[in-house]
Amino acid sequence: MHIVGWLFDLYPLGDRIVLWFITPEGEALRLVDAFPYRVYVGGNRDRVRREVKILEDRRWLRRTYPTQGRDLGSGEEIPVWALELNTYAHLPQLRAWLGRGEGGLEAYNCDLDVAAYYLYQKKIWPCAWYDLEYQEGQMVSLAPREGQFARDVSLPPLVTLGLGLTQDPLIPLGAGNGLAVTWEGRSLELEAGDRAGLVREVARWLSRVNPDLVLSDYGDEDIIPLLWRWSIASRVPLPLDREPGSVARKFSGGRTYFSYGRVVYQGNAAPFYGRWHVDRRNSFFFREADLMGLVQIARLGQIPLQQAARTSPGTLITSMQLARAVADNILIPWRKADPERFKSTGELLTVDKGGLTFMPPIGLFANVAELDFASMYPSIMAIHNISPETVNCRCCAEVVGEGAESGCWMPGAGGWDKRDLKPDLVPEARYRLCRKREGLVPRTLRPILELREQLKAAAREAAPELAILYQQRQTALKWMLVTCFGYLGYKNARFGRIEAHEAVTAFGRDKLLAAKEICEAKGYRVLHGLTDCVWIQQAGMTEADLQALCQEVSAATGVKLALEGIYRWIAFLPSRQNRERPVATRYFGVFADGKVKVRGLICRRRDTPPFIRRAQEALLARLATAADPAGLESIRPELEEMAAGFRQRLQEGGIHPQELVITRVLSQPLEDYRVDTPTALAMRQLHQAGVQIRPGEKVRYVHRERRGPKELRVQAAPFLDGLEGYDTTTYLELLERALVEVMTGVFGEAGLSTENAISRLSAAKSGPVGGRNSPWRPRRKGG
Amino acid sequence: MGRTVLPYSHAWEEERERWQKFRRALRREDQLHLDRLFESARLHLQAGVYAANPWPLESMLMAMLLEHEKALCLLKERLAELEGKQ
Repeated sequence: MHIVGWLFDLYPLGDRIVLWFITPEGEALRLVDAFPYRVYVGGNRDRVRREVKILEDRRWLRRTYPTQGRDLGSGEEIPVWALELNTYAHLPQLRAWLGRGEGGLEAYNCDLDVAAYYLYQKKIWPCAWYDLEYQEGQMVSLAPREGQFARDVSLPPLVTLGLGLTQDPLIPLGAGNGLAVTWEGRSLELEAGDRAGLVREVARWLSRVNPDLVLSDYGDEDIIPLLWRWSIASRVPLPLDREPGSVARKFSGGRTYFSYGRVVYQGNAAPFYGRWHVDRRNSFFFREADLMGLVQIARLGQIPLQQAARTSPGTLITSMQLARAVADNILIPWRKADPERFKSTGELLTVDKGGLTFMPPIGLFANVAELDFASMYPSIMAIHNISPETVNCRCCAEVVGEGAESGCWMPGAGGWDKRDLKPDLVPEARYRLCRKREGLVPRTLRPILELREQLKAAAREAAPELAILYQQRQTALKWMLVTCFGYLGYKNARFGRIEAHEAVTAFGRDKLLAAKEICEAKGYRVLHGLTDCVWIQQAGMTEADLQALCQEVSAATGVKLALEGIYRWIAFLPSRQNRERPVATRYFGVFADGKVKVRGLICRRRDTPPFIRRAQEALLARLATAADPAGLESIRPELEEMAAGFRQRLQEGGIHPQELVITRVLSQPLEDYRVDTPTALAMRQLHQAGVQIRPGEKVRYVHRERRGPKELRVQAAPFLDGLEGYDTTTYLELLERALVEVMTGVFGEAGLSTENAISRLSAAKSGPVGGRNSPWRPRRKGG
Repeated sequence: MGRTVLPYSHAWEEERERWQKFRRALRREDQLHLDRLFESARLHLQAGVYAANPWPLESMLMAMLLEHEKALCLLKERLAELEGKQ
């Protein structure tokens, strides 16, 4: 039978892959396809043959045969043996055996996700249209109707059912918390007498609506695992899946880990089979880019959508690289650890830098242009062929040119001369870059970069309702590109080597400086620079001038530089601790089109209470209407009034507790807190109420009393109903900090209202002197 | 992606610590000037980063001198202006 279908879901079952398609009419179709998982082993020929014989006796394998595969490092074909597993369940056993290293073999392709491996092997991707041929539920053939990197994508009709909790998620389901479903725009709370009843209700909805997508809040962590357990205990069937075969579910609980200075908690995953379950709260990509974003990453990452939804950007880009490798018959190494080569101190000092970060002058500036390099690091990887296997490759060792500097800009007779930019030597580090092979990483990145540009262009031209879909997909791609760089540098990442990372940053610094030099040669003053963008200024500069400038820099560096916008005015703020000291990432300003850009302010912080955030944003919005510094000065009295208004509202009381909630991420378990910080006190309250919170999860609370018994200092979030008062003094201080941040940024020290200016002067006279500036404190107002 | 080499801004703090004894034995008013001198080195952090001098103090001193040079130029101009007016 022939049909057109959209690849919706796929998963391994036994020894074959189950695929679900949706027809253009919205019908779901289930097919199976045989897919043996293939592991490769290499090494000494006789040894390999001996070990394969031993393995065959174990009966894990259906078939073994000799073949060839490409080695990643050298790019050459080497002889290996292919081992086809009987069922997917045998993979862990084979891995354990290989892991013990008894055979002394090199193992490849051992730890790929089964469904993803199927997609890589077949060279197909989810969330796309196919011409299908099938017979009695078996897939016969499959041909894509559209390209993987197609600019425009279309979806079949999908039925969505929403599922959420009725109360704060910390309150357990069935013990104070209930469920609500959303369908066709209407929300309905489920009525049930007991747990079995609740399961029955959910089952009813699933059967009735037969959704393709269940979109939940806290489904992964709280709702589904509980419902599943209750369903088994009370023997009430719960048709989460369309899969008719029995599905084993195991909810192992989440884990906490530490990454980049932050404690992160990753919860359970509760995917469905034959249906999508996406938990908004557990999906980074859904939050960033909505459903279209998920479709985009599933397609490009060649991972089933539900996995893509729950994964981090790094896993996606790795999957793309794996797909590329499998398509090119490259053997994927297992448990790789490719450590750094030895370096001298001098070499280490030269390469171990990051991006260049300038310190801007403090104050308000008018008519400033911001120029940004587009996807600088991924672009550098793509155009200079930087990949773990291409940096200091063995194949080009004899072909190195001598002496030449990797290229620099020198003022010459006719303007700027690009002295011979040798494309295969890295600036400063002088690493060699392969000229014979295109690296795996650049090959993977190039189509993503191109597609992103296409989507951005499409978003600019399309009508608003369509533009947002292009924007969502473009945002998803941005995150994939951003993480690619991080993985490049990690020795344990599948495709990572620190020298590649060093090469990228070296080119990055060089290109930023090249941009700076070209701007300065054309008479611009460079106010600020940050890894891949510059802020410049010149009297009488026009947009046309700037566009021409961007063209020139793009041509010189090979990476596209674009005009982000011209600020009517921009304020660079100093350090919070020291008013005289500039910092790189605290500024705010308004573009010519009225759009505000804010970095490093209190309203951008995750822990700021909504009331304070809105106060600061209100000031910023009003400031944004001013066209120039004179305009700013003229609205100053109005701003002071707005500020006074916010202060007054706080003092009057009657603000809803939700508006004052502070959100903190727990960094350690309760026992490890030595000081009774507000966060620890809130956590203790939750503990006493029987609520468990793990490090990496969020705690939300309101400040209640400044002094007095510790139990009353804060009130944790789920118990805010009926909270009468709050700690006015603390919130006034927070508000003041937020207001002062904005006012002094724009008006300087004069931005402090007279009353506050007086208290600052008196503090300055009596406070400590020296490098440690006394932070300005507002006079306490009642409270 | 952690760095192996100490970031230059941390090196700045370490240098400042190294000079604490020197600072302590200075008169109060001189301490203020010294503090400003150290702060002025922060204005050109990116140059210190890029140069990656094995002795960070050299980059810091150069930055301090640079700021002095700028101040002197400015003062010379102002002086010439004022003298011209007389």
